[in-house]
Amino acid sequence: MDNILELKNISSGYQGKIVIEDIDFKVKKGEFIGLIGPNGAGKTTLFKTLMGILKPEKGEILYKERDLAGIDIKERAKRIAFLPQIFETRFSYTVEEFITMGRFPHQDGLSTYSKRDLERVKDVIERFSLTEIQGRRIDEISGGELQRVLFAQSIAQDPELLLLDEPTTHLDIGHQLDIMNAISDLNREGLTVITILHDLNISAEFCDRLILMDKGRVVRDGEPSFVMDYSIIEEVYNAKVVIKENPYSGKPFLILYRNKA
Amino acid sequence: MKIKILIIVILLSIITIFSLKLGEVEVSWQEIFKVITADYDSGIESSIVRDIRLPRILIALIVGAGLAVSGGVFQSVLRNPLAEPYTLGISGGACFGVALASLFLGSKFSFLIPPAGWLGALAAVFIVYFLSLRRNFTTISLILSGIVINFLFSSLVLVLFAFIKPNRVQSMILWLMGDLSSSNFNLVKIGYFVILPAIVIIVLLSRKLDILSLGDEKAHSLGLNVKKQKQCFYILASLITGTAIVLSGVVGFIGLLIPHLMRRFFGTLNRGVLIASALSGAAFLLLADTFARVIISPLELPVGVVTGLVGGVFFLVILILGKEFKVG
Repeated sequence: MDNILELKNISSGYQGKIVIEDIDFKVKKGEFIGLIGPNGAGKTTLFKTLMGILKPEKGEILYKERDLAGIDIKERAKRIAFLPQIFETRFSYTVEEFITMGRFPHQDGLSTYSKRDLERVKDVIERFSLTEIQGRRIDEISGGELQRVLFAQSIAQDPELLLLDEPTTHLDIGHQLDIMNAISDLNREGLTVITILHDLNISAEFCDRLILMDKGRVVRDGEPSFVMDYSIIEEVYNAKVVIKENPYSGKPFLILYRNKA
Repeated sequence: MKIKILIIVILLSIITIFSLKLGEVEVSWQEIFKVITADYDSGIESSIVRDIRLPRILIALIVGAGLAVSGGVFQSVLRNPLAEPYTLGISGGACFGVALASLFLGSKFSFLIPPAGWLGALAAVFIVYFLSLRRNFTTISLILSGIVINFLFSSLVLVLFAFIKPNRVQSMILWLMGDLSSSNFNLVKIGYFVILPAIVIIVLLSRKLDILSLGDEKAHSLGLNVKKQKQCFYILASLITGTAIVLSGVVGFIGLLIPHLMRRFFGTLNRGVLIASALSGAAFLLLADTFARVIISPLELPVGVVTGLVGGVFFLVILILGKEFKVG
């Protein structure tokens, strides 16, 4: 029962058009995986398939050795939380109301949120230092704060597996570190994390395993130092790069360089 | 929140009492007290209050409540604060259904008129639903599709006019503009048997509306069967709209105006907004109808004209000032 998730030869896509093909990997409980790859590699399609928004054309996904497709949507929501890349709403819920909605899968349809739900929400608000802004409306706070609130909502959901679609996009480096450290902390406490990341340096620094996708397939899967191989990265991204080792963390990092005329 | 609700209930009661009293014939306080305590006599004043004003008031209340709530529902499901039965064209669809049924079915089959209204509303909702599935269904597309759907169905209603006797055209036009003057207790029964339960169900399911308003992907990941829930809410809101059209014709903008104002006072969670909207929608339509009845007495304005004027101006103001709508 070591594997929380097992993908067996998954092919999936939209309306008959296959976008990802033969995806086959296992996720151990407590792993922190970065899903990387160029635009259009199929990362988001893979997430949508894991969420059950898309049905795989081929293959099978096992969640703790149970067929994921057979798990009721509400039961799934108690185990897997998802943070979409783009979040837009025209309804100005308060931060507190918004985070409380993360408790939705834990209650039956009609009842109000229980005492336990509200306590959990309070914990999460404190944990993410949102106490000061809990009464503010989500369309009034900054982008960095909103990202933290979205993240807090997913944590209030109490998932075992967290899927994040580019949680650091549009954030400055301070807020990027902030979110990644928070994810790291939760991972250390036992949460399994798979996150799509565009920033390869952040992915190498924080994740203990990287899965590199290209053209709908997994190209490389393993420790950051194995995946961040300059020849592979140059080929997949069609870019010129230098890869070095971060003197503090020992993790690989990458620098771009310009084509000589 | 309880205090704010209480204030609305008090206002609602005051409007109701004045609506019983005011009109072409002003009724004494004593008589109104008798009606409230169900102590009727056979006098003319009592009869006016009981047989004419009371059913009309009851209908104004339930239609106002229903339209406000269904407006709130459409806004959450379509994730757009400008959605409501009238701007979406749902009223137009219901109108066509009702007009078709009332022109071609004999009085024997008049019980089929409300279902015809529901079907008409559902047909329009169906169109909106398919348009909303498209990825770039923006505020502009929503308003445009509403205009087109309304235009389509009102043209069909005009086609029907060609088939009817001139003396019926007058009453049809009044009804199209929103008119409560033909209220009777049979209509009251239909209203309360359909709209009231639908409102109660919607309020009980309001948390699902909150989740739907977060968008399909987020709602799905929070464990909501998005497609099924949307269909459920569309059907409930269509039932309300269709019934409201049968009772009062086209009364526009209540579904836009009321939930929008209520969000200012009750926050954004749907439970509070919808309960408050039901009560203040009822109060608003009754106020508008009383005004329409009294202002040029002994003549009457169609109440839809009053709500249309107030709502239209409001709509314009939020288009110009409201940052939250991001039109364009």
